[in-house]
Amino acid sequence: MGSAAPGRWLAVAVILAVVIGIGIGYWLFNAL
Amino acid sequence: MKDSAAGRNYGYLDVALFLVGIAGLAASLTILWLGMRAVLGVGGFCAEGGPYVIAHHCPGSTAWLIPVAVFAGLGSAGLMGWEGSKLGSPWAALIGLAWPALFISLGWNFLEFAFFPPEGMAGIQIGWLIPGVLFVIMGAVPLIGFMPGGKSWKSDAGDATFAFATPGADDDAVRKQRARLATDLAAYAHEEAASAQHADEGSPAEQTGEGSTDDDLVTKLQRLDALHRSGSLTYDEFHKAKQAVLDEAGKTNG
Repeated sequence: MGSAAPGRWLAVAVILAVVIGIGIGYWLFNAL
Repeated sequence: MKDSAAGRNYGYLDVALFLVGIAGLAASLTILWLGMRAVLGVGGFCAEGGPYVIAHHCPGSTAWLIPVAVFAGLGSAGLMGWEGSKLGSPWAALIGLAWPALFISLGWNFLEFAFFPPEGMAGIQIGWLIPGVLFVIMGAVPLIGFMPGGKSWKSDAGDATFAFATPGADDDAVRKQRARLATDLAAYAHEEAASAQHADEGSPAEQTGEGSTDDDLVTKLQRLDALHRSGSLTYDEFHKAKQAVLDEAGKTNG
């Protein structure tokens, strides 16, 4: 982890987490 | 792992749990959104269980999935806020986006089903149109707080990517405003004292007398005290203004 821009990778991770979360929610709703 | 050398007081576990909280919140909101659409699709209400004959059964697993999603969402939001506060305030502030996400997405459902109702319901559904509009407004208004407050998106904090318009973010402007207020107050006190003196020197009939000058002084001091208590004036500014008022009063009486 470079200390240059620790915010950048975290921002990307947050967006990924949102997309993955929406996917999980969609999958769960249809599976149950 | 704690990386104190870089000035951080959080570890990779905190980052991972923060992301789990975000994903959990996004999943819960998605389930709520899909569940609401399913329920609106059967007329907007449904029931399961109990001794009654049920006219509108809940579609799929929505009867238990929606309540579970509500509590999962609250738990995820709590985890996100708790871990986010360790990563820095801008990350914790992201939790505020859950409100607009919830209300705008559910408001969209209301609006869509108001204009395109399910079979058997004719025309625009006013009962869904009104909550739809209200939900969208409720969701959109707090978004204004997330606009960059006239500054660049890069914050001075270094660790943070976004600069949110948080209270106290513009301390300089507040300080300048306070200084201006203190100067205005001092000028006002000076003017008042000068006019009182002028009145004293004028006709003896218009003399305000020492008693009323004292009353005036007390009123001014009380006003300053109220400003100080309300936080509009700092301790220093309050004392400067108070001194100015007392000085003027001394000149007038002396």
